[in-house]
Amino acid sequence: MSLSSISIFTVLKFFVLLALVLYFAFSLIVLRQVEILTSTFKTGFETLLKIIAWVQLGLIIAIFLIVFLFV
Amino acid sequence: MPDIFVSKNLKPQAVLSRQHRVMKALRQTKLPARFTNKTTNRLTALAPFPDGVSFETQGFDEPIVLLLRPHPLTNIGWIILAILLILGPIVLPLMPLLNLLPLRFGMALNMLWYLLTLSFVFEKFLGWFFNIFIVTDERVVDVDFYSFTYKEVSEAALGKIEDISYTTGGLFGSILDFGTVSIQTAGQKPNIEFENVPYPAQVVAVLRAVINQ
Repeated sequence: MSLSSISIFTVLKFFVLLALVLYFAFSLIVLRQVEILTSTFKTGFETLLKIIAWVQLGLIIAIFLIVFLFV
Repeated sequence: MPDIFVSKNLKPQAVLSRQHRVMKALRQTKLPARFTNKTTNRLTALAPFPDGVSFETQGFDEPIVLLLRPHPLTNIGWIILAILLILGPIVLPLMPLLNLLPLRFGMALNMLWYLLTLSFVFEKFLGWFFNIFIVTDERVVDVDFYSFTYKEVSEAALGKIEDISYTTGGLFGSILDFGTVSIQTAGQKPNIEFENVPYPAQVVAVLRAVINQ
């Protein structure tokens, strides 16, 4: 496969996937930070905040798979 | 005889009696009811004697006298930006360059865009929600949440507070009465600042009443 056969969209897809990997790492930090914050200060919203952090992580994985498999 | 079982749902009598003592002291200073009446709203910027709220280093019988957050109006900037970000993918297809992208690629970028918007809103909300100032009858605690990777917790015993001052400024600060309360402590510790809190003059009065009680 020569370099000229690689389309601009393949390169773009690679960078989007790379960004999603970095974003996944960031969302792990978010999850950890939310756990630390909710244990530092309890208000009754702990479960909801943790759910949002987990949903974010799940969406990143879902979008990664969509881009990887279907785009 | 030691207690065999103590319910976690019941506030110990010592907390209630200390809470009542502080309440009495606050009422004697003729502060408005918003500073002396208990609140159950946990999403507010001003919560005296909040129910169901606790922090990590809180003593067993240590009552929270006042819980403060920055005034809700300080969120207006990021809320407007979030609305613009939500509207972004609706407006952007009007630009001819983006129409060159394949449909699937465009959809994937849209999903990524909304995910980033969700993260942005979540971080900003947490930044406000966990940027808290707590006054108990023993100390003041300041939790500053700057970003997902950086936060700062500082506290000072009431006995070590040397000077309290406040500043209000700006158009909205003057109209809606919010500003910064600065607490100078003894020793080399940096000062504690409660930024953009509602009714700073009355917050200072609460602090003085709690210190003097």
